[in-house]
Amino acid sequence: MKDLVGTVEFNRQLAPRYFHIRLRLPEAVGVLSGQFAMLRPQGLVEPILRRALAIHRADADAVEFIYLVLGRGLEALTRVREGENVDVLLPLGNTYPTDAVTLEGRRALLVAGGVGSPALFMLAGDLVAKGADVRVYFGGRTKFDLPALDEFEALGCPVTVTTDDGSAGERGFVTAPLERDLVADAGPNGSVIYTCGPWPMMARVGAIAAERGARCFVSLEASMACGFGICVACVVEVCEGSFAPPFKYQKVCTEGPVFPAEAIVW
Amino acid sequence: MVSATESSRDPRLAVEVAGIRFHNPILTASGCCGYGLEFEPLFDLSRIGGICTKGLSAKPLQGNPPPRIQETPAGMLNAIGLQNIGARAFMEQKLPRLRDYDVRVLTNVFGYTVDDYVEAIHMLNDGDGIDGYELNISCPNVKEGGLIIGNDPRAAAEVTEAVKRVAKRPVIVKLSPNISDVAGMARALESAGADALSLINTLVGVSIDIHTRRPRIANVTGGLSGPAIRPVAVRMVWQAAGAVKIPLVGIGGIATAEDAVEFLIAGATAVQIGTASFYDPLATVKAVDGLSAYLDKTGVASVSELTGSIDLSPPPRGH
Ligand SMILES: Cc1cc2nc3c(=O)[nH]c(=O)nc-3n(C[C@H](O)[C@H](O)[C@H](O)COP(=O)(O)OP(=O)(O)OC[C@H]3O[C@@H](n4cnc5c(N)ncnc54)[C@H](O)[C@@H]3O)c2cc1C
Ligand SMILES: Cc1cc2nc3c(=O)[nH]c(=O)nc-3n(C[C@H](O)[C@H](O)[C@H](O)COP(=O)(O)O)c2cc1C
Ligand code: FES
Repeated sequence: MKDLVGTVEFNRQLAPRYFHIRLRLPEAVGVLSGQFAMLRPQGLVEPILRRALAIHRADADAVEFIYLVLGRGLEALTRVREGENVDVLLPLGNTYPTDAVTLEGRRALLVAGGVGSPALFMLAGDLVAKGADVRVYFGGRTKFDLPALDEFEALGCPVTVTTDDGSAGERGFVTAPLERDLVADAGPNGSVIYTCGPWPMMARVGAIAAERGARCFVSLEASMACGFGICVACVVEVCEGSFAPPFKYQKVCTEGPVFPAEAIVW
Repeated sequence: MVSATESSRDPRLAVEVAGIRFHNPILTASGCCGYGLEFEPLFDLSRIGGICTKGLSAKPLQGNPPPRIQETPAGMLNAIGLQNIGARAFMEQKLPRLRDYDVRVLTNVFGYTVDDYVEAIHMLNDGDGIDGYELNISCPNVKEGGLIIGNDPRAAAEVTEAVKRVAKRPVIVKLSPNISDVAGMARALESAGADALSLINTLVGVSIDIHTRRPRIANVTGGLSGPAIRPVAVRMVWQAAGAVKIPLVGIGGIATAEDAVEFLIAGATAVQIGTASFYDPLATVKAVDGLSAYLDKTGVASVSELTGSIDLSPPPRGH
């Protein structure tokens, strides 16, 4: 974990309210898939807190993020121009367990909902590079809510798209094709599901995985003040027995953001 | 990690509070630094004057359901609910590693009854490497405890006396801002034997989502912290300074060395940085360096000369 000053290489709009930013870092930082960063335009007075964003892409000395503007923190980030600075604390959080895919030959099913997709992009790239059998399911409300779909498609693995309004891909929820495919063919050695998206979607994906006996890992979001374990704000309720006692609340920033789906009280 | 050596330290920053020597007046605030070790990857803990742990109780506590925080103008509301690993686990798992650093360790303690405080202090008395205790009598989140004790000088004095009877280390009592008579409270705690006072804890607030009409944090009320509360905290430090002789530790919205200096001038001997560490994880070490720079620039010989140096003469004309 380092607190660095990143310099904006680009910060461009992808769709209404969606942006893609690339920061050059003053030093090399090793990033694992699923990890995130806490960002804030340098010198910003208000709002005070940094915002958590999944690391969408990482080179030796640069990182990229894709973000959906909900309020004034990320709105301020949209105003940062090329050459300007952003305070960035990274890398934060844990990573996806992948042995079941890379060593045991299970199929990897990545289920992304809207702006949950950046949290899965590095994983998709890593697994494809290792020759794993990877399938991506990408759901959005409309065709505008599929950020970086083209980057997933460029990886060469099959990508199934759904939208709630039918403006792109299949009409309906992303869980429909996931369930259909799992019933038809779960892969010769079974599947592992990785998911990030809205809470109800992840809850449903977790339930589907449990029904089909597939392992499932979810990447969670939570309200965060610090991102590195000092405020104890970002907790999620976990099932008894899934973590060492005494705590039923676990910090998403340090124990997560990736959790086994069955550990979460949905 | 190599610890800051004595020679790399600025001797002008050394202060003493409640008999505890801090090599500089910048401490972390309770609940805003975990157990201190969370900062290990970011900076050498020996560079700051002290660490004040998350509030500890005799037994571990689960805390409140999420959401636990909401950002507000120049600040935030929190209702963490004092989730903590308990005094025993702190001493077994965290304290030995904190001893690797030349940094003073204050354990923040809370309870719901006088007995709770006494029980936790009894446990912590065995801890090797604890320099002092800070009593949270003011946590606004826990309905049965904080509000009542921290707002009633008699109850607050009772806790202080009971703790002083058993404590093997200096006791700093942390004031709630949710009181009207600061001087009266400060005097009551001084008479009860407090070795120092720290102030302020968070101000009780509520934030409502106007679309759902629901409170934005699960506990409904939360504690307000951050730059928004700084003037309130400076005012209270100044009022307490006029009422008692024991040293004061200023807390509330401090983010920089300049903010810290403001508290020293108002009457504090040391300060704690809380919320600022969330958005600027290096805020404490930057403030230490900033204090040296401030002394260089102003020619003031040491930070202790600043304490209580407020000049109440009327501002010059034209201002
Ligand atoms: C580990 C992690 C990774 C994340 N990765 C990404 C990412 O890659 N891209 C991305 O766009 N976002 C991501 N998020 C979510 C992002 O942090 C929040 O959406 C962001 O903080 C909102 O900031 P804002 O300033 O736009 O809105 P704020 O002003 O903070 O909030 C505006 C409104 O949106 C609501 N809100 C805030 N956060 C959320 C949320 N998470 N879900 C629903 N409503 C919310 C608030 O309650 C408020 O009403 C991630 C979060 C976490 C914890
Ligand atoms: C998330 C959070 C948790 C806190 N937990 C505690 C605590 O356990 N005990 C305590 O005495 N004060 C606690 N506080 C209060 C702080 O120590 C401090 O008094 C207050 O936040 C004002 O300082 P600040 O504006 O620098 O944050 C907490 C504050 C925050 C923001
Ligand atoms: S965000 Fe502060 S502890 Fe997780």
